[in-house]
Amino acid sequence: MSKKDCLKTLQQICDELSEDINSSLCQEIQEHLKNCPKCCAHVDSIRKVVYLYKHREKSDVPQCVDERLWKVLNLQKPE
Amino acid sequence: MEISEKELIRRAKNGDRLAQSEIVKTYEKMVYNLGLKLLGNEDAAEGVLQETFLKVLQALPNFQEKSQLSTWIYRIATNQALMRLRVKKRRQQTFERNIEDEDKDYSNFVRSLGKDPLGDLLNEELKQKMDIAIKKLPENYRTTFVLKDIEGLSLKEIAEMLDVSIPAVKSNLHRARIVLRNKLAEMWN
Repeated sequence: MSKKDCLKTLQQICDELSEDINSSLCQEIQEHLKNCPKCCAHVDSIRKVVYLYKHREKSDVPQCVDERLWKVLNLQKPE
Repeated sequence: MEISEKELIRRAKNGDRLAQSEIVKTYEKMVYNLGLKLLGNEDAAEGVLQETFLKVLQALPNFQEKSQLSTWIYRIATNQALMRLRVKKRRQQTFERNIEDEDKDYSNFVRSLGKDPLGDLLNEELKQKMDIAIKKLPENYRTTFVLKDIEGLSLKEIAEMLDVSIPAVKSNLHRARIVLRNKLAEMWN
């Protein structure tokens, strides 16, 4: 994990904890992460999973679902 | 000729069917995907899609335009999905017992995902596994995860929408992320 990623992750952790990034709690977390590869991997894995889901492309509306929607709304789909 | 959103809304409010259709066409994919993610199944997502736009067309004359049209529609869709969840309201407490005793090392999983997460998303197998994993999440976890981590709502907004405390939102979010990570790691390795 790069330093920039670490800082971003720490900011997220602190946000979740409703703490300022400079608070003593966040500083403690930062110190711990520096020296604990296991916790780093834990945080990094969570961060990657969140990233993957956030950037997962949206599914198209299936054609049959789309057709039923326009029928229910009694509207004509524009070209 | 392209018309502005303001003009589109004005026309739709006045009953212009073409303008109303343009609004539906623009936002149907967003609404369907939100329903799909929050409810985890296609039939329910279709229900949310239809209910949302019926409501949108009905409420459009009263739309105050204090927010963007997309935000307003998004809110209606979220509320429709949450109403469906409340009706269902299943509690899966037994699930939670298995989460806290996690003491595994996830370095391998992190490495296997590679250094290019966007590239990973081109992997169809991974996408399928992601869909399975999120579908299997208990509803209260999935709702919180989708609203916070995918849709970017604040903890306070989510607490208000779900009618739970902020610590409960944090707890569900934490658990949701861990369960998802564990499921993905388990399927991936």
